[in-house]
Amino acid sequence: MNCAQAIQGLDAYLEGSAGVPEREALERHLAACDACRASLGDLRALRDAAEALPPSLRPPRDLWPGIADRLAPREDLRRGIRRRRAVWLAAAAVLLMVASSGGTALLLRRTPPAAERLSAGTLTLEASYLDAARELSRVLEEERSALAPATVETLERNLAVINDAIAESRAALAADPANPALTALLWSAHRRKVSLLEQAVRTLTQS
Amino acid sequence: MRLSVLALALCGAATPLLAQAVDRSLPARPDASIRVHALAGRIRITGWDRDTVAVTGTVPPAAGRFFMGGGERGVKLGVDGDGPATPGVLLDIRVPARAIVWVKTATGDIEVSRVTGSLDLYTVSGRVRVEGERVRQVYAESMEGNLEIQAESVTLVRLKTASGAVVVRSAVEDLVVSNVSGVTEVSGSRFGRGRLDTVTGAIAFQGSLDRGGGYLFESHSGPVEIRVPQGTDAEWDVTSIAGTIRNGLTAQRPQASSTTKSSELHIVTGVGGAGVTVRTFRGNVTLQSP
Repeated sequence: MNCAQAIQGLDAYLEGSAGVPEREALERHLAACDACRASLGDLRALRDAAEALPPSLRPPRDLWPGIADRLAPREDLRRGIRRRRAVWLAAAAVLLMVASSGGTALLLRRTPPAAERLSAGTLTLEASYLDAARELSRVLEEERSALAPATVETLERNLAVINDAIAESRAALAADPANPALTALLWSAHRRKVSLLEQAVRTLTQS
Repeated sequence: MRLSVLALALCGAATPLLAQAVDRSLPARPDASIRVHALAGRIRITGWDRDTVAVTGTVPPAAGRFFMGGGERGVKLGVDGDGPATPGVLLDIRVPARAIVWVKTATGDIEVSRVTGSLDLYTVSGRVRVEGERVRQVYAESMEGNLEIQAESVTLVRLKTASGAVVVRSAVEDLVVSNVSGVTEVSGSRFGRGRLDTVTGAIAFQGSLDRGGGYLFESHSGPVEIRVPQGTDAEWDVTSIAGTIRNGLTAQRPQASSTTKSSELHIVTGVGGAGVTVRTFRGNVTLQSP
């Protein structure tokens, strides 16, 4: 297991949902890697901070893998794996920031139309996905020439598929805001979008 | 003199056109890490019972230069080229069966057989195929290529593709498949836990569930078909916003939710045990016994 895999597995590890082999592999890695051990500590602290938030702003548990997924590769890409700890702390700071009314208002202004019918918690969490997707898209746009045209076409086609799903789930959730299945489907679609963008970015960076 | 000049000229002209023949080997521990990198071509990896990494194959000149190095704990090999992906590379790699194998390619196909260790396989447009009896871990990712696993059992599987087809024919202890628009077909004798999600692709699952296992099937508009043995001990929680739910496991029919705009089906089969959650937006859901 390398550091990137370890970071991606931390959330499941903390939740206790990691499989036995995953857990064992991660623990072996953590025993030998100071940086990942520090990330685990930061993630624990982040979770504690999130637990202290008012319930209306607390993200659903299944959102965390998405946040972890989006942060780790982005950090790998920009600053290298050794500075991952700073990102987790930054994530905690962002989370606490959006808990404040000023932060929430700021994020609300950046969300798409018809957003007023969605809850504030949904909007703040959606904003974090949108930010991640936007940043990954920017990286891909800058490096577009490094991708084969067929790959770009596949990527764009599948992003369009996901965007349609997000739009449809979003509109339905606005009309039925208490529907937990819709909420889960919306988060899944956002997570899938970020994951696909990360996958494309990895094709540029992994060697 | 003229003949020798002519011969030299012919040699000079012919040399760049000759493919590089590869035949190299290095000693390696049974659990060595093997890293393979090639932009294109066909990469075949076969596990064997020797403590050696052996490579044969061919590398066309335009594809770059073959390299191989490392020690007993780890071996790195592949084709070093800066240009566009050039077809024609063939690497036939034999590795200790328990090795940890990492492969990355852009357009190349990856085929793995008889490796029982861990596999990390990345391709952008190529396909990935893993065959074997018992495999510890398979992580495979492709943007548009197909991902296929055919084995007796795999402890842990993580597969991700955008538009490729995913085919798993194996018992799996812990399975996660993420797809966007490709078809996902999973079948095997037993699944300890699993998560299969897609956006528009179809999901077809067939196999036995563990009583203590958790299973999530999620799709936006792709159909989800789940076949489990009759009398499977499970609690089912199925929700679809606009799709239809067909229940072939019990006589119970899905109902409109009293609190939300969706169809729901909550049933217990056998004596309960496994937790199965199915969520779709427009995808139709079918539950049945084979």
